[in-house]
Amino acid sequence: MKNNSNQSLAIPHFSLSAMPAILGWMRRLGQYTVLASIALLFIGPFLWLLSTALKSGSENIFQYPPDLIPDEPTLSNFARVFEAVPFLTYFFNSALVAALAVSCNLLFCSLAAYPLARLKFAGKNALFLLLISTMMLPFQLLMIPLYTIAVNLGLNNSYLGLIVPHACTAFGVFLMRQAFLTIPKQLEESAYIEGLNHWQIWWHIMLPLVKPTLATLAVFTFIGVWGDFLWPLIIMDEQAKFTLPLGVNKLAGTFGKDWRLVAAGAILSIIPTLIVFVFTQRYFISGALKNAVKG
Amino acid sequence: MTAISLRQVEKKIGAERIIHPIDLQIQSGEFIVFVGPSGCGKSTLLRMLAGLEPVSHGEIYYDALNVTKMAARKRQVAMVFQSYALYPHMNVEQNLSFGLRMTGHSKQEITRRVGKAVDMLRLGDYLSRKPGQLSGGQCQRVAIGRALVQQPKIFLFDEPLSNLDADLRSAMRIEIARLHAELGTTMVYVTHDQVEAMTLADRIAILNAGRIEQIGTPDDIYKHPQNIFAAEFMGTPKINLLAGEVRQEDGLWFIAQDEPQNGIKIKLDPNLCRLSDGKKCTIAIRPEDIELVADSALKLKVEHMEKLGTNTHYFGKIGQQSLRLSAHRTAEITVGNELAIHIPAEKLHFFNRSGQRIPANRSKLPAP
Repeated sequence: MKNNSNQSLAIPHFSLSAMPAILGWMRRLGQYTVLASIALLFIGPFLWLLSTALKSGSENIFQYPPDLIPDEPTLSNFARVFEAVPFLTYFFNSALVAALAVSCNLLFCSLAAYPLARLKFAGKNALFLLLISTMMLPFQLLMIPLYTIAVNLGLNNSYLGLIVPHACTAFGVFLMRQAFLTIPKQLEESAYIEGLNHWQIWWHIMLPLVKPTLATLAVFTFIGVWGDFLWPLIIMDEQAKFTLPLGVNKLAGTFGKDWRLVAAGAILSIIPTLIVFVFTQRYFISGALKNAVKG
Repeated sequence: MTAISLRQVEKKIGAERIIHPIDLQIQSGEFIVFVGPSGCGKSTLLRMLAGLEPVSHGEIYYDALNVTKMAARKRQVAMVFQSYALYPHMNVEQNLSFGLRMTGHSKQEITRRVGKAVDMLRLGDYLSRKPGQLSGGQCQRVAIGRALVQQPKIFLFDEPLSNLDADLRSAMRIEIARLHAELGTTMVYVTHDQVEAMTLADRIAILNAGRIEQIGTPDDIYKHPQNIFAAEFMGTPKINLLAGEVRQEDGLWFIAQDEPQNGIKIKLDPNLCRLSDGKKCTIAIRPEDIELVADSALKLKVEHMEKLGTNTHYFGKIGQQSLRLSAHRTAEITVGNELAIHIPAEKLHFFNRSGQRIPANRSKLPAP
C-alpha cells in the first residue's frame, strides 16, 4: 500500500495508463482527510484542555477563536493543584478503588462466564440472555435502587461502596464467555480425563488461554472505574475518600471556577489512564475489534 | 489390565437413537478398533467408555466395577484425541507432567514416569518446546506420552492419526503397535481408516448407523464378512458385488441379473453353496481373488488402471457389470484391452437379499 502510494506520487505527468494510480491516490487522500478530521474532532478538546492548563493567569482563556498555543507557557497551574486540594489522597483513593475493582471484575466475571460457556445445566441460555439484557439498562435507571441497596448494606462513604458495583459486570461476563467459547473443548476434556476438577481446569487451562481477553477487560474496567464521576458523587460524602473525578470537580468550586486549575487537575488525572493504555494498547485495540465483530 | 463390558449400552439424543443397544466384551489387554464411516457412532461409543458422554441406557463395566455413572476423571483411563489436545501454554515437559502434578503425585514419581515416557517415545529433544513449535507427528507423540504417564487402566484413541500425512501415519501406527506390545494395556481405538484397523487390531468392530455390523479378527472380517456392509467397508479396491440368481442347468450356476442372457455366468461348487435353483442372492468377490487366465468366456474390458508398482488395479466392465480386479502388474495390458478372467467358485461370498451372509455348506465340505 505504502509503496503504491509512493509510486503514484512520483508519476511526473498524467498519462492514460496512470489513471488507476491517480484514482487510487485520490481515494486514499479522501480517506485520510476523513480520518484526520475525525481524529481532530476527538483530540481537539484534549488539546484545548492541555493548552488551558499551560496558560498563565494573564492570558484570556475564553478568547474566540481559541488560541491553542499559550503565550507564556507555565507549569504553575499543576503545582497549584497540589496546594488547592489533597490531590495525592484522591489519587491514592482512585488507584486503590481501580485496582480492587479491576481485580474483582476479572475474578468474578471469569468465574461466572466459565459455567455459562462450558458447563451443562438447565436454564443456562435463559440465564445468559437475562444477564446480557441488563446491559440495555442505562445507569441513570439503576442509580436510585443501587443507592438504596448500597445504603442498606452500609456501603455509603466506603471504598467498598465504590468497588462493588464494578466488581462483576454483564459486559465482563459476556466478554469472558465469548473468550472461553473459542477454546477447543477437547483441551478441557483432556484435562478432565487426566483427573482435574472444574476449578483446576478453570484456573490452569482456561484462564491462561484467555489472557488477552483478561487484559482487554482489565483495561475497559480500569478506564470505566477511573473516570467514573456520577456513582462516587452519589455514594461519597467524606472528602478524604474522594476519587480523582470528584477531586477535580472540587477544584472548580474552590477558587470560583479557575478553569486553568481544573484543566491542570484533569490533565494530571488522565495520566494513569494514558500509561495503562500505552502498555496494554494491543489488547485494547484487539479487544475493541473483537467486540465490534461479535456485536 | 482391565476388561471392558458393555451391556445393552444405548445413546439417544432427543428422540433420535445415536447408538442402538450394544453388547460387547473387550478382553483385558486386547486392542480393539471401532471402525466405520463418519457419523456411525464410533466416537460417541468411545466417549461413553471414557465418561465424557452420558449413557442413555445400559451399563458399562471395567472388570466387575460398574462405571456407567462414574465421572471421567475417576475412571483412570487416558485418551488421545485427533486434535492432540495439548495445552498450548505449556511446554512438552509441562504437558507431560501436568496431570500428575494436579492429582498430587510425588516429584520423584512424576520424574520417573515422565522420564520413561520420554524414553519410550523419544521426546528428549523437544522437552522445552511449546506445542506450536512441534510438527504434527511430534505433537501426537506428546499426546500419547501424556496418556502414557497416567499409567491408565485403559487407553482410548479417538482417530489419533487422522491429522497426519501418510508417511507419519504409517510410522505412528508402528509406534502404537509397539506400545501395545510393550504395555499390554487394554486399548480401544477409533478410526475410519481400514488400514489402521486391519494393522493394529486384535479385533475389529465395524459400526454402521449406531449398530455393530460385525466383530472379529481382521482376518476373519476380511475373509468372512458377515454382511455386505462389512464386505464393502474392508478392502481396497472395494469388493465386487453381483446381484443375480442361482440356476440349476447342467450344474449349478450363478447368473448376474443385469444381462441374464450374455452377462456374467459363474459355475458354482455345489459343495460350497447351499442355494438351490431359482434363489436370488448377491455374490461378492475380492478384486485380488479374480484370476487372469489365457482364455475364458468372461472378458473384462479395461476402462481405467491404477498402477501401484507391484500391483495394478484394473477397473472395467463385462457387459453392463462393473468389476474391479487387482493383479500383478502386466506391462502389456492397457486401457481398452479385454482381459480373460476366471472367478473361482471357492472364493465367492454369498449374501441373501437383506445383505446377510449365507454360510457355506460346511457339511458337504470335503474332509481336510
